[in-house]
Formats: sequence, structure tokens, C-alpha cells
Amino acid sequence: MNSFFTVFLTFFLLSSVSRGQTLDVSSPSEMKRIAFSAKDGVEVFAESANGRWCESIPSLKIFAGDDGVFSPAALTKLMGKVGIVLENDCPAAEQATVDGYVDNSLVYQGAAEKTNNWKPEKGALKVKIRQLQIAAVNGDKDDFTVGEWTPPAGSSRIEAHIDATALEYRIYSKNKSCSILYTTDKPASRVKNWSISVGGNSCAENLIYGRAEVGVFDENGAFVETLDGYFTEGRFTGRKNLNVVLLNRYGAGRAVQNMSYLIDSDTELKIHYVGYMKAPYNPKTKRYAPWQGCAPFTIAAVTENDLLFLEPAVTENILRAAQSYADIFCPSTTKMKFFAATVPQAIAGMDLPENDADDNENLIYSVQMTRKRGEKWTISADKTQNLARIRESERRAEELRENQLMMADYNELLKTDYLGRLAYMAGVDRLDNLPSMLAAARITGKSQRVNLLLRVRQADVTTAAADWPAALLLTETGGLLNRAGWHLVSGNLRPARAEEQRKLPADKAGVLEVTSATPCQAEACSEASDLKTLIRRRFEKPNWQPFGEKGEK
Amino acid sequence: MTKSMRVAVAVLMLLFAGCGVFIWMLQREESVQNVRHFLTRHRLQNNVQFDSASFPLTDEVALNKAVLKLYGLPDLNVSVKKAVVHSYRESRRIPAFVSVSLTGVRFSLVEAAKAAKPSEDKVVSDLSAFNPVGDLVDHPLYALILAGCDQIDADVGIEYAYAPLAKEMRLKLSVADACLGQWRLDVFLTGVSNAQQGRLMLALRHIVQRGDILADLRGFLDGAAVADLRFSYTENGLVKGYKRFVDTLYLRMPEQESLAEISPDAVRKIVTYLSFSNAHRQRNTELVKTFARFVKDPQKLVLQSKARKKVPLNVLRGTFIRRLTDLLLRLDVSLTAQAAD
Repeated sequence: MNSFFTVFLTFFLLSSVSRGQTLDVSSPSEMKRIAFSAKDGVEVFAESANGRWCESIPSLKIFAGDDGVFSPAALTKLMGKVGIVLENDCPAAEQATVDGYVDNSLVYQGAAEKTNNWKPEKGALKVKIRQLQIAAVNGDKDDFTVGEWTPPAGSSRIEAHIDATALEYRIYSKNKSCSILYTTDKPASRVKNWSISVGGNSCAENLIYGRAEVGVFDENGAFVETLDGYFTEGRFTGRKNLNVVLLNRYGAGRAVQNMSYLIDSDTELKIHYVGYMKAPYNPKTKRYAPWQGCAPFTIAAVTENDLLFLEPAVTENILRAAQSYADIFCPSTTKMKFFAATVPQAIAGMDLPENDADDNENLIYSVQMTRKRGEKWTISADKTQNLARIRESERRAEELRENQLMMADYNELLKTDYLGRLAYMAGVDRLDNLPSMLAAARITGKSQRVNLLLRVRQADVTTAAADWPAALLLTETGGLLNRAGWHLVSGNLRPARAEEQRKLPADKAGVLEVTSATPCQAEACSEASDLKTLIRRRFEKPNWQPFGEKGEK
Repeated sequence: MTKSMRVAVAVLMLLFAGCGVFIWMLQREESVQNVRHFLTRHRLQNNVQFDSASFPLTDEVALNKAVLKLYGLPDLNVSVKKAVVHSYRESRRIPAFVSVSLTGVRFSLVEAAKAAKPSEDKVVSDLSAFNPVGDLVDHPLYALILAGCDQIDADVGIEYAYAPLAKEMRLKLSVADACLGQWRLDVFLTGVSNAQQGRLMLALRHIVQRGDILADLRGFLDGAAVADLRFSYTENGLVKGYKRFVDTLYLRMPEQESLAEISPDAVRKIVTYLSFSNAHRQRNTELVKTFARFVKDPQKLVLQSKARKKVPLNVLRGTFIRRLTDLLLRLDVSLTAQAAD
């Protein structure tokens, strides 16, 4: 028996034993092992939902000990064997997606078709797009939002939003049976009288899909141009047949017109993958070029989870996913721009022109990748910016600085008396003594700015009276001080005038024109003794602990 | 006596009475002129003004509704209801005995503080950082204001006696005011030369005229010795008012004991301070405890030096407080806290 048959028998003998076994990997969905080879260290799982894994396009995951398994020759051989298993156990399977892992890292994404004897194709455009389209049309987006944004859903499919900034007009054929969405900077009053002639397309859904040859005529019936190529939802994409789920049609001024489309939604990582197409304006022809999205392939991971980009392994996996989408939508592209952002549009370099101005706060990560045909993507280090990491470094530096400030305050407060702590609590330089400052006001003849701890005996709408530390009339209290009790009060102190003196129980009392007031929680603001709480409140850090002190249980 | 004789007697009596009144009026006019002449001779006519003068007894001059203009505080209005010079004697043209009483000495402490014309920043910084112990010496005026006193209406008694040959001087001062209370100081100095006595007169004159009072007083005391000292203070509310202020400084809560008492710990600290001047700790402790009792229940405090103790002032060194401490302990003073009279 030659080695091939040894491997083959080993594989299938063991595969029959493995039936019924399931594996729960990182994904919440269940995995069923459908084949394995102990000798080669290969296991093949099918993703199952509700106990069913057999579908027209099952999702296969191949786990191997080394990436030699995913070389074209070895994988073709392996998929041939897996195809036999599929045809036996799942006759409904026509196609299959394949994800390959080495040491639990995704190293390969592709697909295989029964009609092609399960020969694996890297990228596998048709299969994946079909899956995405099915998910999109079924509204299978699992309802997660990014910054209150979620792909817009209609009753049965994603609805494209046509923004007012889009220089786009619907132009009909003479008999109104066909139409295209045409981008032009000509005035709407003129374009509304334009028309098209259509050749080579059935125009089944009124808007032209797929291959067609369309002539465009102006309001006078004069020929404008011929659009000979592919159309997606009525928009001309030239020689590229793009099959995408359009999200938004908008413009960035006259120079660039944009279109975004939904690629995929990763519910686990809470990422919407969005692709972008542009129609640049050609000043020479005074017309817009066909929609293009592959030179470069531009993709954005729209997410709020910027922590993803702090972990190199996770970032790498996200980039691999982006690379696989490039293989699906633009298999021959050699340049890709990847962005991670909290918004699906308005990022310089992504859908807006490049901009050297300040960083966009919505941008998390950006990278440019290039490749030569048949080779792996390489990252351009000089065109990579990980703003998540920069912000995290800044945040940590700020946190460290803030912690140092908090410790400095804490150590200072340990040496400070109660008045100093009250002043810290009120956020003022010092707390004043009422008799001293009233004497100062009388001697200087000017009102004095003071911060006082007072016990307010009664409070009316605009005035109040304090009885501790001495009798004091408080005026202009409206909205600042409306109840009796202990307060930290700031304002302008002056001696009482004769008519005010009559309202006061003691001679030589003062009047405080209140500018701010903070009610105390405890008698005489005794909460100021709790230094940790003081500092936590000041810095809004409810869990802060002084260095060297154990956390509260 | 016939009717005509009685008429003649009445006319004569009227004539005598008229002459008497005329002579008294002439004398009175002459005396007022003398007072004015005295003030002019001593260049005080612009600093001491009065409404009228009277001479109730021989050698006694009373000025009514007098107004004093102090040199250091020209904007301060000090009015005296009645200033009486009970006695004035000279010996070899040197004042040997003066007895003066001032009734109704009125002025405002706040106005006095204003009249010193400090900058606003200085007033605010001094008062906002007022030290209730140290600033009693540095800013006594502020201390009185913070104790709640402002309008002073005091009766002041001054008695001065000097024996040029014996070089002895006795000074008595008494002040009684509704807020300040009653202060009595009686001090007997020896070794006071004519020149030093002249410095005291100069200091008194410089209260109302241009001059450096502190330099005068330094010169006056240089070489003198204190042979007897008695001081008494009777509370009218000053100490209690100051304690109220100190309580506000230390945030004394309602219903809480006063924080302005001298605690046992403070007693120990003060005794230690006193012991640097005199090592008699037991005596020092008694003094401080007596003072602490007075602070707790302020009524009357009497300080009396021991008989036959004499302390030359030029042996005293250090700050004012240290010199005063040294002086009192060298005089072996006794301190008594008494019930008010």
C-alpha cells in the first residue's frame, strides 16, 4: 500500500469515528467535526446552527499544525477528500466556504464548488458575495450600532441613502422602461430632460443591473456619451462587475462623488465592514469617471471598539479579514486602504480628499497595504497610524499625571487643617474667617470677596440669614441657596447698611452678596474629613485609592 | 436800721457783687488767655482745640469739648468731653507733678485703623492671616476690633510724678471704657535722669507733633530700672469678645465648649517658654494656671511685683514679648485672678 492510500484510509477511518463530535471554539456557533487526520494533524469542522450544518453552502474551518496544509497543491488534495465526505453526508452542498487556521490564527480564506470538483479558490468571490447578499437582504445584521449608526434597513433589504450632496440624477429611456443613476455636475433643470438608449440588457427591475450598453442624450437630444460596461443598481462601474449592497450615495464637493457599500458585519467584534467607491471628476472631459472601488480597494471597519486595535493579534486578524474582502471584491487589486473609524463616512483619505490637518477624532486606525500579484499583502509602515494606541498612550500618560496630581493633593491634604480641606472641597484657595473679613471690609471701605462656611438659619427666595459663625444677611441667593442648613458660600462681603442692620439680630453684622453656594452633606461639612472622597469627587475618579493603600472591599 | 439804710446796703452789695463778677470775668479771661498762651508756647495750638475752659478750683484747669489731632493719624477725630488738669507743678522748670483726667475720650477704632492709611492688600492679608496670639502684639488695633470693640468712650486718668534729685519717677494710668474694661497701671521707675525724663515729655508731645515716639521711649527707658509695678484689668467684655473671635477661627460648633481656653498642653508650652527666662517652673506654672483661670472666666486680673525687686531695663534682651516676660519674672510678679468688684 502506498503512502497515499495509507493517509486516505487513516483519514476516513478516523472520520467515521469522529461523527457526532462537536467543538465549541471561540465563536458562539457550534462546530461539528466532519473529518480529521491524526497523521497530518488536520481537523475539518463544519459550522452548524441549531444543530444543522448541512446547507447549500456550508462553512468549513480547517485547523492544521502548519501552514503547509494550505499550499495550493496540498489544499487541493485535502479538499478533494473533504468533497467526498460532503457528497456522502450532505448531498445538498453545492459550494463551501473555507477558513484555514494554524495555531488558531486565520491564515487562509477561500471557497470551493462541487461543479469544480471542490478545487479551492482563494477569495472565492461569488460564494462569499452571495452569502453577504443573503445576510444583508434578510436584515441579518444583529442590530448592533456604532455611534448610533447601523446600516439602514428597510422592510426586507438594506436601503441606500441618497444624500443631498450627491450630484446624481435618474435618467430614463424614452419609453420609461429603463433608467440609470447618472452622475453629472450639470444643473438638475437640464438633466431632468435627458434620456438614455439601452442595448443588451433586459432592464428587469427598471434600474439597469449587469452588462449593458447605454447611450446618454441631453435635453436637446444631442449625444453626451456611451456607457458600455457593467451597472450596479443603475450606476455605471465600467468594466468592473461589482455586486454590492449600497449604503450611501453622497458627495465630497464637486471633485469627488462617493458611494459606500456594506461588506459584512462582525457581530462578535461589533464591526461593520464598509467599502467605498469613487467617481472622480475629469476636468478635461467635464464628466465623471465610472464608479471605481478597487484602485485602491478602500475598506473601513466601522466600530466603537477601539480596544481591538491595542492588541496586535486582534488587529492582525481584522486586517486578514479585510484582505479576504479585497480578494472577494477586487481580487486583482494590488493596493488597499484600510480604516477603522467610529463613523461610516467623512474620514480624510477614506472618502474625503487627503488632509494633513488635525487628526480626525473619529479615526481609530489606518493603514495602506500593497501586494504583487500572487503574493501576500505587505503593510506600508510609513502609512500606518494607530490612533487608538496613541490615544491609549496619551490616556495612560494623562491617567498617570492625574494620579500623581491626586497623590500630591492627598499628601498635601494630610498636612492641611480642616479649613484647608473645606477650601479644597469648595474648590477655592482658602476659606475665610467672617469677623476678620468683615473687619477688612469696614477698614478698607470696600466689599471683600470671601468663601465662608455658614449655617443658614432660614432662606427665602432672594435672601437668607445665617446664624453661624455670626449673624449674617445673605442677598441675591436666588437659584443658589434655597434651604436652611450648612453651606459653603462664596460672595462679596460688606458691612450692613442702616436699613439692613434693622433686619439683623446683632450689631456690626455683615451682608454677603452670594455668588455661589454648595450645600454640605453633613453637619459643618464634616465630609471634608474624608480625604479619599474629596479627591475622588474633585477628579471624578470614584474608585481611586491612595498609592500603597489596599482597595476597599 | 432804717429803710434808707437798708437800700444803701443793698446798693453797696450789688456794687460789690458787680465788681466781683467783673473781677472774676477778668481773671477768667486772663486764665483762658494763659491756656492759649501755654498751648502756643508749646506749639500745640493746632493740635489741641477746645470749646471753653473753666477753673473750678485753684490750680485746676478744665477744657470742655476738646478735640485732639494726632500727628500719626491726622484723619482721626479724637474728641474729649472734658479734660481737667488737676495739678501741675514744676521744679527747676522741670515738670514735677502732673495729674490729668480726661472724661469722654471718644474715637472709633475702625476710623483709627483707616487713618493709618494702610494699603487695601495689607489690611486684607493681615486680617485674613490674623494670628490670635502673635498678632496681639503686632496688630493690637485689629485685635481690639476683632474682639468686637469699635466706638471708644473712655475715661482716662494720668498721674505723673518726678523727683529730679532722686531720679525717681512714678507713672499712673487708668482707662475705663464700656468695651475695653478698666485698666490700671502703676509703675515706679528709678535711675531716670533729667534727660530721660525729657525724652518722655518729648514722646508725649510727639503724640500730637511730628516725631518718633518709639525712639523717644527707647531713650527714656535706657538706663532706668523698674522698682515697682502694679497692673490690673477688669473685664467689661473685651476678653470674652476676643474669645468669641478665636472660636470662629477654630470653627467652634454650636453647643461646643469654647476652643479659646488655655488647654493643659498650652499651659505646658507657655511654662516652657517662661522657663527660658526663669527656671522656677513651679512659680511659672502657677502664673500660667492663674492666667488660664482668668481666660476661662474673665473678671479681674491683678499683677503685682514683689517688694524691693528692681530690674534695670537695659539688661533685657530679645523681642518685646521676651523682654516683657523677663521683666515680669525678674520682678517676681504675683498674678491674681479675682472676682470683679
